[in-house]
Amino acid sequence: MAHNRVVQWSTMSRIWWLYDAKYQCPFRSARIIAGYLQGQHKPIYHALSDVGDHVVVINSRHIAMREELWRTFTFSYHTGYAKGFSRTPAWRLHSMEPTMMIEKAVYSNMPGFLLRRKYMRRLHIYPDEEVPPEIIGNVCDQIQQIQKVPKRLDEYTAEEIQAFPKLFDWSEEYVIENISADKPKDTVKAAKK
Amino acid sequence: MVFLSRQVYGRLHRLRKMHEGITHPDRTNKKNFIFRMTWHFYGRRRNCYTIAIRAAQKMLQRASKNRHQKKINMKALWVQRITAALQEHQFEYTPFMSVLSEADVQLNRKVLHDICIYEPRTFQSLVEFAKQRYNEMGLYDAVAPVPPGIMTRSMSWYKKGLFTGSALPDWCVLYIWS
Repeated sequence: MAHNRVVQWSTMSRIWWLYDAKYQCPFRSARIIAGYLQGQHKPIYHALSDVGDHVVVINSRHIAMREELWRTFTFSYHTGYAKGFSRTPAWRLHSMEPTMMIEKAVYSNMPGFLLRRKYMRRLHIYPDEEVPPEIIGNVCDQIQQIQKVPKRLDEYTAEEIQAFPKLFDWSEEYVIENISADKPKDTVKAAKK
Repeated sequence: MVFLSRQVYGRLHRLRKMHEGITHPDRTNKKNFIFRMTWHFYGRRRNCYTIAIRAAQKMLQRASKNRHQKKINMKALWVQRITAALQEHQFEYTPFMSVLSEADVQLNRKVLHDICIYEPRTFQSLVEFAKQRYNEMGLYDAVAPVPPGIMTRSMSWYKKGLFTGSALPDWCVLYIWS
């Protein structure tokens, strides 16, 4: 009986979530993170009651974008003064400040209400896996990554490659041509020599 | 004479003026009707009649319109809360509600959101029932997620999960700048 009463107190607590942004899309991650900061993942959610949680984002330096977005996507800013407009491509901003892309994405994903800056103060972004002990000590749960990170070929162990089902294999007498050996040689250079 | 309020003094003053021959009708009651609605407004909107009557009219119009809007807002809040509770059980709102309605479970959103907050175990059993029922329905087979390692050209992104919003197709390549 006492146990059940205590279990319900934790409904009102503020939880610290961890999110690993390695090889994840910053914009799609930001949509999920903004939801957690506002408390939209809780059944007791209300816009006026502050039920948002803290989110600690790690590996923000290693986020991934598709196609040419690193070159073509630009972040614009105007200082408010004359000649104060500037446009920075994503690769450049990310080189200067590895945490800024996620911060901007989360900020723009939240509705433009007065609580936005308050919720943004609960977002802690770190470029690598080094997080101060006072922050990492608070973390209790992890948000699942948006995209599954595929395994590289060299990350597979020899046992896994051996165990992978094989439909067929070439017989030992079959000669597989060596592609690099058959490269068409530059006939002009050969003639000059 | 001792007057307990300004309004009473003003009315007597006006009545005296009436008897003296100036026949203006007494508008105190008419104005009090408005001031009783605007006593808690800001500034001149609570004291000056011509400004207060406009504020009162606006207030009454908004009250009428928002009686309908309140029901819409409450329903949206219930849907949001039910969706949040379903996410904890790895299920989605649309399949959940469609399964419940097809199974003739007469629980509206108002009751469902109360259950999901105050009766979590009851809600869990409802979700388990809905998941089982959903697997038995015909649409599941059409949109079931494809096991990994199999390439399909048709409905590839739709088959990724139950109506989840992962918009990037499987063949999309991601680049890193670090």
